Amino acid sequence: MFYSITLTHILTLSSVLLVLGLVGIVLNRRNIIAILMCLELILLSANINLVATSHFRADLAGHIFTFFILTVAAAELAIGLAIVTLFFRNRGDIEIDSADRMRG
Amino acid sequence: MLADILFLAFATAIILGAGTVVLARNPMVGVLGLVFTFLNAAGLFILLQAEFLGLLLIMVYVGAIAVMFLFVLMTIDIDFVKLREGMAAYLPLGAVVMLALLAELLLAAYAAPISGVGNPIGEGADTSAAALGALLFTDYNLPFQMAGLVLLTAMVGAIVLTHRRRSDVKRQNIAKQVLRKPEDSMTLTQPKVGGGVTASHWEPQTVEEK
Amino acid sequence: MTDLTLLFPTIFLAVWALVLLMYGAFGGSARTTAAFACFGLAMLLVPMLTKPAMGSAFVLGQGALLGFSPFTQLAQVLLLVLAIPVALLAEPFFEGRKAHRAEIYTLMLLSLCGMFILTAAQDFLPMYMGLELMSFPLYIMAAMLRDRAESSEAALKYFVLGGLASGLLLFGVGLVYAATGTTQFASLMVALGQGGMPWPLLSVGLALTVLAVLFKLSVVPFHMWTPDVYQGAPTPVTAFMAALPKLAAIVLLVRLLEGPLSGLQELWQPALAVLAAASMVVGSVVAIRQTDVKRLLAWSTIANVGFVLCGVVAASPQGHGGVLFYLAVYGLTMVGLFAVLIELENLQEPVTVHGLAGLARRRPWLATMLLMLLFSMAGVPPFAGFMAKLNVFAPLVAAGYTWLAVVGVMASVVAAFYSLWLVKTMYFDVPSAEVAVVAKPVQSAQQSPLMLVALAAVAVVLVLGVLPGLLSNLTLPAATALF
Repeated sequence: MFYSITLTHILTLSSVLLVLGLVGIVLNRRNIIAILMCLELILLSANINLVATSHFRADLAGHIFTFFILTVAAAELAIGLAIVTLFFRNRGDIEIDSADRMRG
Repeated sequence: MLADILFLAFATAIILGAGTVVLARNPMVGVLGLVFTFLNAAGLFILLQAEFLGLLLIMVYVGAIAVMFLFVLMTIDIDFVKLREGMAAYLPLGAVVMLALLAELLLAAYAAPISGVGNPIGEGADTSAAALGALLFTDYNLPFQMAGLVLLTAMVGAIVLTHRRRSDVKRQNIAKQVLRKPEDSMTLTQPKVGGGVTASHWEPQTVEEK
Repeated sequence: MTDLTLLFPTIFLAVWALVLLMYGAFGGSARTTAAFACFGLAMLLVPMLTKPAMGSAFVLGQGALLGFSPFTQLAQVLLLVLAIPVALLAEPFFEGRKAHRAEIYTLMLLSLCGMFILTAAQDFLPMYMGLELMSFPLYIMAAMLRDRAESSEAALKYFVLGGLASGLLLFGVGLVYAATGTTQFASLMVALGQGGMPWPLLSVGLALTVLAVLFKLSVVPFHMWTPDVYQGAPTPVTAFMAALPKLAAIVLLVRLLEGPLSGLQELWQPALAVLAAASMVVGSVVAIRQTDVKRLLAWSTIANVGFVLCGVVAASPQGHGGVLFYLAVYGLTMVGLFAVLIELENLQEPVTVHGLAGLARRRPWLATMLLMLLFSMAGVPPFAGFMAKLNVFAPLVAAGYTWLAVVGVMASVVAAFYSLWLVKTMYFDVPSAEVAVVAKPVQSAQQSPLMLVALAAVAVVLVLGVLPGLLSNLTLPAATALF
């Protein structure tokens, strides 16, 4: 199927994606919505790892794992956005940097 | 050969989409970048013979998650330009740390050939939804049930945290209306001339808080 | 076919959570739901103590999804024993703030169900699912005080960092899977048992996996969320977070390190030793500067996790037995301390270090209980905290990590300092004028289960301090079964 692409190449792609997600979290420290989107990118990079390994090792365990990650990611985001909505109601903004009521 | 070209195309698109998410000035553009990323990732999954997961990715991410993001973005009213301020301050340190991490990951990936990887899923192999389902309902029944519990948690959580019973809205209690009898709300009296009437059935109602 | 009786406690918790949810949804009051929750947990103790489940469930290839050993079994019993007093704390706290809802007990039970899976997981998939099922209810419960900005802020911070940790965990699992082709602990052990250094891909993957567990434990470089979350979350939820997930996560860590990673002991032992030392020192030293008591307890948790890691570093049956002993005693002490704190909050006493001044004169009983629990926390001899510290430091010296034991003892001295300082504030300081005005007059709190919980904690801490054999006779054989 693939001519010269190996698992290593796909791991490269997922590593780049992971680092992009982490960079996004660092850069968008004030914007909680952007942080949540970057968390989804990190989950996607893990999914790519698992699906690619599944393909190159002819083993369905990775597919199963990805299936569950997708399910849990949806649940996680629902909880996250509920908390964000609550935070916005209480604070009137979504800046996580301004989340500094507590110090010490 | 075609598969290689397709992989490169999908990979480039995924990176571009992710870059949009990270750098977008307007979070709405960010969500669109996310959708673009996930569409291409779905393409990659299908290329890797995970057809069901590819379609699931589109359904879950584009259908549910992106919509959820858009919904929240529409509901909350924020000055997004302000949120971008101070981004440059984090850039240098973040870039250095992340480049180091990327270098480490790539070193790890390229340091040695991965052993035991040589027999990709064959042409006629069964990776369909049926094959996945057969596994999910037998060997992996435990995590499947747990996924149900996780989804239940999310549902309970979202309702507990955001649902409010508003006291300023009038509500209709149909059962109460239907069960209401004339005697409950009407009294016939024969007042004496000049005596006046007091409603015996009526008590001031208090709004119930729950 | 899997013998489902092995899974009975887990299934029971899930079903009981659903029953409570339905009961609450169809008009049951939160108060009776609390009673039902505690009743269910107490009932569950009976089969768990009389019919310990051993063996593997969902056998798959070389391994299984879940495995039940005496270690897992004892950890689950301890989790259950700690969950009952924590569930009792919720009502007196939330009732006074008009935020008492039946769902909180459903969430507690679901979280407990996740911990049960986590302690028994033999594969990365149930481990991940268990971790998430444990964490999601925690995020929600942290935001339970919906009108308080601190509460939702704490939940948000916990959520974002928890999500990041599980993302890194998954990436690590993906690398492990790419390198070895398996997600099972048993097959991973075979792959790693071939000797020599693991190849780089695998070591990065394993490091990321362990990192996620260390995050849940709030070990020092990954501890930054702890003080904010502990301070902002509703106090009974903080008690839950301090006592239960730590126990579940450390059981998982021990089972990972002594299971698949046992061949790499010379790699993880020094690394964990450094992290343990850092946690003990940072936690103890920063706790001194705190003014808020909940925040102080958060830093003290970080220090205590360092002490617990000492037992893990020892990598011997005595060490791991000491870990269980320490966490049981620490969890119970924390629950007792938080019970007293909730009582103080309900009496509108300020829960700051300076606000406690003169407490012994105003509320002698509360001050006495606080004194005993703080002494136990500090490791003063007649209390169980001393035996707990002894049980982790002794195996550490036997394992040749004398330097770490010395650091640990020095950190305990610092920790003893702030405990004693709090005691001094309560007993010898004169309260400032406004505190004396704000605090309500002495009133009896007979109906509240808070005093019951605090008294029980004090009693157990005293009994275990005098007769540590009662618990260590259970923990040592359980830990020996790991090897």
